[in-house]
Amino acid sequence: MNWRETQPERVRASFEQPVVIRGPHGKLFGIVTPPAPEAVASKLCAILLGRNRWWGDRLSVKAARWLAARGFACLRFDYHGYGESEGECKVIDPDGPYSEDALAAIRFMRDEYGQERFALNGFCFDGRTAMSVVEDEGDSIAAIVVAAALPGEMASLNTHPEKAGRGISDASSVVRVSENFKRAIKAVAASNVRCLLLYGSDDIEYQNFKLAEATLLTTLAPTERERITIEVWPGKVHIAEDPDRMREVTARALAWIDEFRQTPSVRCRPGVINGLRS
Amino acid sequence: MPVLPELLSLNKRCTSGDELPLFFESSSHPLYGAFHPAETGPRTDRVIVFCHSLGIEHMVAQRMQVLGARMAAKAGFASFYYDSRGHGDSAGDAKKLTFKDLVDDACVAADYARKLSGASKIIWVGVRFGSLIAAAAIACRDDSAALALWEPLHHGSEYFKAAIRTTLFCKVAQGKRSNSSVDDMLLRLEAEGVLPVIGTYLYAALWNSAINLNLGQLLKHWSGETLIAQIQLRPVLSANNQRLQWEIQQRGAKTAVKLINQEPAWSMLPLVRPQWTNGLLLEATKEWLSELA
Repeated sequence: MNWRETQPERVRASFEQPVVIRGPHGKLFGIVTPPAPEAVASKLCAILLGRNRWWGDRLSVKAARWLAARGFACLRFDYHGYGESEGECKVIDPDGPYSEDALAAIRFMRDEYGQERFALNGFCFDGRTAMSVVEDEGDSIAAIVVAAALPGEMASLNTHPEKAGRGISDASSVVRVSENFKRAIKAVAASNVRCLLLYGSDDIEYQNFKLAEATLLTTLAPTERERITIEVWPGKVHIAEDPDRMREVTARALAWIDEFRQTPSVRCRPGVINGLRS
Repeated sequence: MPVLPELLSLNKRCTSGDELPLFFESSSHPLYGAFHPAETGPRTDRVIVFCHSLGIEHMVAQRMQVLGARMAAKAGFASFYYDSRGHGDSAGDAKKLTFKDLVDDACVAADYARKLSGASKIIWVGVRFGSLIAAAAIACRDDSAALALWEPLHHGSEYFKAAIRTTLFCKVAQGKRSNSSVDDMLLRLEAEGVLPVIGTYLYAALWNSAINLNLGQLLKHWSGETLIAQIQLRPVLSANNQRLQWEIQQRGAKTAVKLINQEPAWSMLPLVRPQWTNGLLLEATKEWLSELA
């Protein structure tokens, strides 16, 4: 992927529109990137979740313009309490995704921009947020990409996250798969939403996810299970401080969403990369 | 890009209260910004322009700019913040970015803020590296009324060294040994043109154009009212801040100092903790604004 700004992306940037979304915690500020009129319409709206909306190395900005140049409508926005959005700034609870904000975003794009089908992308907490809205909006969501989301509860993660070395280093500290995660996975399985779960083999989050795999995913019917694709990369995926790795993760998420558009009727099968049949 | 009246019309549906998020153009780059008109008060002759820091520092401090603009608008001062090219929601290629580009964007933003507000003078707020940008913009304009410095960097190289130090520190904290020093990594930046650091990249074009910047030098002709807000754990003004205050006072200008006893992790990616906020800094800035001549 070309990480430099391309001319089509620059053009998309010049058509971006700031928007204000009414959310339960106040106004949410975001940016809509309209699809390129010359591109084949994807008929999908990509919602790129992040705290703030250009968190880290502005990968969501790049992603929005890249997707828009390929025919997607895109929205990126600040969660409540972040960036320009109203609301209280809080330490996030990894098991308490900001579902209400994401739902407000989906409904805004439906009401104001006529979007009917959605793809959501999120890393870590944002991935949990993407999963959490399927329960309410599963009928309108085509696909979600969930990178390195934590399926469990880790109280110590909230203690001193800014102090390197005090984070989780022992997977056994993750005691169980949370009820919220179970509910979200069940909602995905019960819907027609295709889900890409991406982990690194060395991620603490993956150790916890293996619990979910063993106890939860094995109970799903084959037709439910086939909607969920799991990719495990060597090393770490949950390493936000590594900008090279974050680019790889973003490129994979974009490829997933983009290929989904190209073959929207293809059904996923377990273990098949992208959910696409060769 | 749409022209100003079209922009205002285009963005009308987007306003929050009176806040106006928008895009404007600088050297053919669409830049994101937000205008906050003054809610009350008589200071229609001045508009505040925030100059942000870079990379992860920009993200860490972004919410404070937003809160600062809202606070100022409530206090009767129109405010404008923006993202430079290659930053935030603006277009542009960070790899090619130079310090001159950042200053050009600041000047375009200031012109735009004046146009939106009808003000004739600028009150600059520089955040960390943004202090150098604001100082350079002041040096090439004649419409600057006052300057607030939020934990200013005094040398251009400080931003780069801080980002590298944080990267090395994280390695050590993860139990890994780094075989490189800060100087080694700066050499690598010069040789390879790009250097990954925590959450982002440093680029040689900006490093080469910023390495010799000196805040005192950039402000050598400045004699406007100035706030130095030091955000450090030390209980007294740092030597650099003391020197800068003294130099500005020597030119007959009124200065104010506020010590904020906090040390945000400027170069560290916030994972579960929120963006940095500080009520004392907002209050101090509001108080300084209200006392401007």
